[in-house]
Order: sequence, then C-alpha cells, then structure tokens
Amino acid sequence: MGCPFHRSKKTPSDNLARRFFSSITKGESPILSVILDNTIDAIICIDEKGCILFFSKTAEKMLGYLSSEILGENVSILMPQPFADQHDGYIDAYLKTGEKKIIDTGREIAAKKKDGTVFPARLAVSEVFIDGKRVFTGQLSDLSIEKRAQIAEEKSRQIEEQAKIKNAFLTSMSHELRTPLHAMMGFIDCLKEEIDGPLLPEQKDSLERAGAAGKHLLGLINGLLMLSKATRPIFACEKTTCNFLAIVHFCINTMRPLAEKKGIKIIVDFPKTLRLIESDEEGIKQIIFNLLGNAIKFTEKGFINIKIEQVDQSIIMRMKDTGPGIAKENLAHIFFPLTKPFLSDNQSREQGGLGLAITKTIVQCLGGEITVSSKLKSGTEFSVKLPINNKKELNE
Amino acid sequence: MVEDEEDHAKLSIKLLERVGYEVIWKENAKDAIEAYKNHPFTLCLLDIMLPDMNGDELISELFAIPKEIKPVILAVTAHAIEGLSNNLLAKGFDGYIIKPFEMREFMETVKKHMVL
Repeated sequence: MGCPFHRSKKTPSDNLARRFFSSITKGESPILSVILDNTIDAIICIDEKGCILFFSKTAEKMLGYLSSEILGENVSILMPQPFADQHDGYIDAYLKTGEKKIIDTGREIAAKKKDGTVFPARLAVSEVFIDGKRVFTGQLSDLSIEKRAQIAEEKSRQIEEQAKIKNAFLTSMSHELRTPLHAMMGFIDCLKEEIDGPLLPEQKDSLERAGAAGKHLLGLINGLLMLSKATRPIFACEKTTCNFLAIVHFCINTMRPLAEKKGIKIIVDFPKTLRLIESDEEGIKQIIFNLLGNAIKFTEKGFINIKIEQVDQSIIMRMKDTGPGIAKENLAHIFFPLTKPFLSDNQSREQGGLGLAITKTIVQCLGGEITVSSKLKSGTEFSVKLPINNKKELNE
Repeated sequence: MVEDEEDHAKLSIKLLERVGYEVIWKENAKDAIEAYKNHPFTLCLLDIMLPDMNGDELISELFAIPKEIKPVILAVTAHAIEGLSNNLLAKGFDGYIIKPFEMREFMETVKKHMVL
C-alpha cells in the first residue's frame, strides 16, 4: 500500500514533488520563495495520498520537524489521535464525494509537534492542480496564545461574576441582618431612655449591656460588608485637608477615660509642627480608635506610648503598649479577619474580630502602610505610615 | 411614614408621637400615594424597599402629585451601600436615615427637617 495508508516514509513517487519544489525554491520564483519562508502561518502541501510535498520554514519552527526529515511522510504524523487515524478517511471521502469539509473554509484543529506537544491551530486548506495532479495546500496558524488569552479572559469573567454574586449576597445579607437588629436596638433604646417608664439602676445596666452588644453586632456586620471590596458602607474615603495632630488628640481625649479606668497612662510624643495631610478624617479616626481601643483592651498595667513624626513625605505614627504581646506565629495573620491573635499565656481574650482587618483596609485605602512588631510579655507596637500629599504647613 | 416592617413602624411612631408629631403610617406604596394625595404632610419617611414599589418609583409617583407645599422627603433604609447617599439625593430625596439608627440621631434628623 502507498503512503496514505501506511505510515512508512516514502518518497513522493512521481516527478510532482520535484517539479513543485523546483518551481518554488530553486529560483524560478524567488519572490514566492521569500514569501513562503516568511509567512506567519506554516505552509504544508500534500498530495492526494496525504504525503507531505512541501514544508515551509515557519512549519519547521512551529512543528519542530526539519523539512528534510518530514518530506514524504504522511501528514497525519502532525496530528494527535484520533484525528491522525481518521485523516486518510477524510481525504478518501473527499475524493469520492467531492464534499468539502475543510477546503476553502478552514477550521480549528489540534496539531502535534515532533516532541509530542499538542497545540490548538487554525487550518485553512486549498486545492490546486499541478500538471493535472491534485495538491492540497494547508496554512496552519498557531492558536496557543489566542487560546490561552481566551481561557484567561473566561477565567477573569468567571471571577468577576463570582465577585458580583458574592457582593449581591453580602449586600442582601447585610440588609436582612440589619432589619431585625434595628428593631432590637431601637426598642432597647426606648427602654433605656425610660420612654416606657422609669427603671431601676440594675435594669438600666442590663439594657446598656444589651445595647452595647447590639452595637458590636452591627459593627461586625458593617465590617464584613466593608471587607468585601465592592461595598464599603462606612468608609468611602473622601479626601480633604486634615490636621493629623488634631485628629489624634481628639481620639486620645475620647479614649482617655477608658484607659484611666484601667490605670493605664497614655504618653504622647508629638512634634510641634506637622504638615497638613490630604486624607480622610473619618478613616484616620477609625484607624486610631481601633488601634488605641485594642491597646487599652489588652494592656493590664503600664502605659501606651504614641509617637508621631514626619519622615520625608509621610507621617508615621507608632503606638506601643505594655500589653502581653503577641506570639510570633500569630503575628503573621494578625490582620486577617476573625483570627484570635491575642491568646497567649493562657489568657483568655476576647475575639480578635474584624478591627485590625478593617484598620488595614482603611490604611491601604488611604495609600499608607501598617506594620506590627511584638514581644511576648513586653508589648506590641503598631506603626502606621500615611502619605502627606499636601504642600501646606501648619504651626501649632 | 411608609414602612412595611411593623416593628420598625411602631418604633418610629413611638419616638415621633412622644414629642408631639402626628404620624400617618402606611404599609405599602399604593396606600401611601393615596394618603399623600389627601393629607398636607410636612415630612415623609419612605422605606425604599417596599413590597410593591422601590424608592425611586415611589418618589417619582409622589412628585407627580401636585401639592401646594411640597413636604420634605427622607429615605429610610437598612441598606448600606457605597454611593447610596448620592444616588438618593440625585433621585430627589432631601436626605436619608440608615437603619439601625440611634434614637437621638433619628430625632435630630427629623427635627432638622421639620424646621426647614
């Protein structure tokens, strides 16, 4: 049997190949030869038995065979299974019926390199007659890059879709959770404010606690929402010119009674002057409240030291406490939501919650950085760096 | 006040009536539109997620009703979404209140708009 039905290599039987080649490559048509060598597509010609008659330079690069080693081979060598086995049948069917499946139209196929790699490609085939002999000319373009891009695009579309679903879910969940919470907190408020009649001190205390727990729950719901990036209810980051020192003073004054109740001193080390910064005042407040709140919460005795300085175009605030410290293995994920990094020395602590995760999100929204260092039994230091982005100077 | 959550309505009514405001409460948009036609309101508190209409539709329905003195219209919502406030103001709401609200905060917002 001849070439198409045997995979054995056989030189194309007649003069067809020789004539075909010489017309292209041996200078009869130098322009054509240059064109063929420089096409982006690989060009492969076969006879009606499937034997390869011509294999262009691009084909060599694309498929890994040298023209010299592949001429005369059956073209099915360039196809993975099951297409390789079916190929002879295709040509046969075409010759018998004249029904074109690929000729003149082109389609996507899988091609196989010499090293066995299979890649997606587009094949366009045209049919010519040379000296009455049928020659099929195939142009093969490598679609690997396009396919990869397509897959990546599809993936990013899926991720986007998932994010949309997630956000829709979080938004509606937040609404569902806030609705009953509103009634609970509202009526607790009514009782607490003695709208429904006077209360005993113990009753008032109970309601204070219930109300505080409700607020905490609301904070968690808001925090969860904020951590999902698309929906940030509390923090929209509206930048204005801010007096950083004044904001810190405000926060410290608000929190000081809490610290004093525990006998903790807040020591400040502020510069006399500090540049005004272009930032979000509410965001800065939340950062300081969260950090200072934690410091007060976890420090049993000693002090909290807050140092502010200007370094180049940034403001750096360092807040150091004399709390129990955080173990090294917990420090790594301290900014993750709902971790409990404060458990050490058998001390049972309240939940780590969302405070630090939110703090980090806000710092990042403001274009800054937050870092932490800690030593067990000696204390923890948070350092927040915020960009100034402002030319004005303020003297205090 | 249009509010489909009975608890929320009762809470607001309690707070408002206590300081002497007269409140007409409707549970859906259809009844609210009817009431709007027949009463000279000073202030409307609209829950923007009603069973039969959303806030955008309801406010444009209300705007279409000729009124000698236009009342102040506030949106009330348990939705907390970025950009919501701008959206509501663009739709013609004079302000908004987000649930859960604190009693004081709610009363201050109402008082502010009743004076205007």
